[in-house]
Amino acid sequence: MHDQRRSQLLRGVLDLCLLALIGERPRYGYEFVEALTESGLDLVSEGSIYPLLARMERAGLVDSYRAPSAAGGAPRKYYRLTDAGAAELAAGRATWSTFTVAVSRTLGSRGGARNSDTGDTGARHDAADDQ
Amino acid sequence: MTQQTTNETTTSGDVTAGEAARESAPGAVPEGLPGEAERARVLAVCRSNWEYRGIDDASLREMLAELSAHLEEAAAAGRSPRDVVGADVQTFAADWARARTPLHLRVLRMAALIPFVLGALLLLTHLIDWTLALPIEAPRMAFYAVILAGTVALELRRGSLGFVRWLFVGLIGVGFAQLASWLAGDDTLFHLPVWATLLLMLPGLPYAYADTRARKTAAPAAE
Repeated sequence: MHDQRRSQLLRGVLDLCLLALIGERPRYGYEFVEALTESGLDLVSEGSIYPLLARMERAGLVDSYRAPSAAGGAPRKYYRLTDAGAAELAAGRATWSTFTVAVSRTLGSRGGARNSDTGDTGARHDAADDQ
Repeated sequence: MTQQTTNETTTSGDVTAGEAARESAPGAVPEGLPGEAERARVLAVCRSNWEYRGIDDASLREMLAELSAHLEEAAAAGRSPRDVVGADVQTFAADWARARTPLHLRVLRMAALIPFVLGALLLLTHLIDWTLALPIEAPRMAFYAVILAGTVALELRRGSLGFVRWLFVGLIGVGFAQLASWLAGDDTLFHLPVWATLLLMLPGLPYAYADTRARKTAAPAAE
């Protein structure tokens, strides 16, 4: 259940995470997975980044070029951010910030309210028992 | 999670490729295949899926190269193809194809290329029979229809046809041709003129030319 929720949350912001990683420097497919894993974000299936990258490329948020990789072997397809991608990333970051603040406030206040409610009720029960 | 899947894969590593492929559901990534065979099978299933979904040759090669490199690096890090593509390789391939090329472009390509392939086969028959008007009978139509449907279905599920399955599809085709002969007879239904055959091939020519060029440019790059 906990893993499922994490997976669903990650799916909702995976495009933003990929844009942020490309914003740091151009990367190829496997490097995204490594960077996400280092950040503590494990994908259920690593390959799910490819359809997302393809959609972002079609939307003009990223473009690609082939270059040799530091790991050796055949040249890799590197993705880099376009101007439209940079604007989308900035907008996404702003949305995420306001969203997380709102969610934290909701989760925090509801949790606090439940605790204080429980405390009050407990006190009332105690008072009733005394009488 | 990833480590767990890898362990599951390696502990059953003594299962042969054939056994694992037979036991698995169509499209499912088998867990018991040795790494190299498992990677090859995933790539073969993706290739045939993308071909039948109308992905152009240049894009297909690029996607295969990208996936192949990822599978190799994942294997070096101790992860299985299942960790990369998930439990169902066909779903993975379909998602990527849909994201890569819009449906209308893929449909357009297939609508042009299927008559092209059919026209090429008919042109060959024109040449073998050395005739400008090819007699078309029910058994011949049944035979080609079974070969076409069988090839597409098997390649989509298994990635490649192979000699045994090709023989199997051929035998079924002969059976259906016999059945059509028994039901509809061997009489000529119509004569197909050579110009109609060439006309069938016409819409697919630009796609076939682009694919051939992509193949030629990809060959030196691979070397």
